[in-house]
Amino acid sequence: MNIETVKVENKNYYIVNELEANNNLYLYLVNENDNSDIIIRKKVIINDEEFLTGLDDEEEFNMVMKLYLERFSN
Amino acid sequence: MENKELLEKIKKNSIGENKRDKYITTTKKISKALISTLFAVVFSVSMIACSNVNKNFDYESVESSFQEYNQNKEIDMSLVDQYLIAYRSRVYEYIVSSGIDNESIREGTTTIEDYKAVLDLSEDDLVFYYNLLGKQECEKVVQALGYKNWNDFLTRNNHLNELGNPEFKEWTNSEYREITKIMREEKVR
Repeated sequence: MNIETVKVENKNYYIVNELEANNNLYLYLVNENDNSDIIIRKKVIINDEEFLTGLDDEEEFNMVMKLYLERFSN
Repeated sequence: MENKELLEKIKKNSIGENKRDKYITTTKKISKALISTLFAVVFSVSMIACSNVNKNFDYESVESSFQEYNQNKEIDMSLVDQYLIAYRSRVYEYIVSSGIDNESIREGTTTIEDYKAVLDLSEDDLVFYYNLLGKQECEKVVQALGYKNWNDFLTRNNHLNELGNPEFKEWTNSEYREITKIMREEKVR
């Protein structure tokens, strides 16, 4: 099976899922060397270049977690 | 690491607009088992996060169903959590082993055509898809099986309530029966 990886803070992460909400694309990432190292990023475009940035606050974090659970449980 | 501690770590590492990296991807080949594990890991974290925000999230219905089917008032709910996570992992592994492209599932753009590879699946197997993909997405699976929509499927398979209308009640219960079965098998070992 093929899976995409992305480099975040010089570490490689598997892109486990990508989900869209509120015009943002959120990425659920797991470190390829450590399953407990999980991070969420959102994709942004700055000057025609794509970046991954951290979430704004805890509220956005909770929303993104809920989104994942809803997507895969109901 | 405790759930709460793990969640705090993930939250800390995810929040912060100053965290910024160029989006450059590469493709790697990994095993089906690892894909299942990754999915289960993120799913379990989302479950922990949601239960942390809303204490009644999901667990109440799980508990009542277990009491209904197992008649066991002393169920270890932390064990139930583990089995739910394991169950989702199994669901995902099943999907992957059915030959459906993982990329399609991730992007949620799977078409009815993609599901035609699973035309021989049983109703129980369809429950797996329902639980993983959700009602809307799984309707494509149902259509690939030759039904018009969910109501058509439920009606033709006699999933009706007392008023004769199609409903998902039995399906919801079957998920818990499956978990109960796994737990019983685990106890026997």
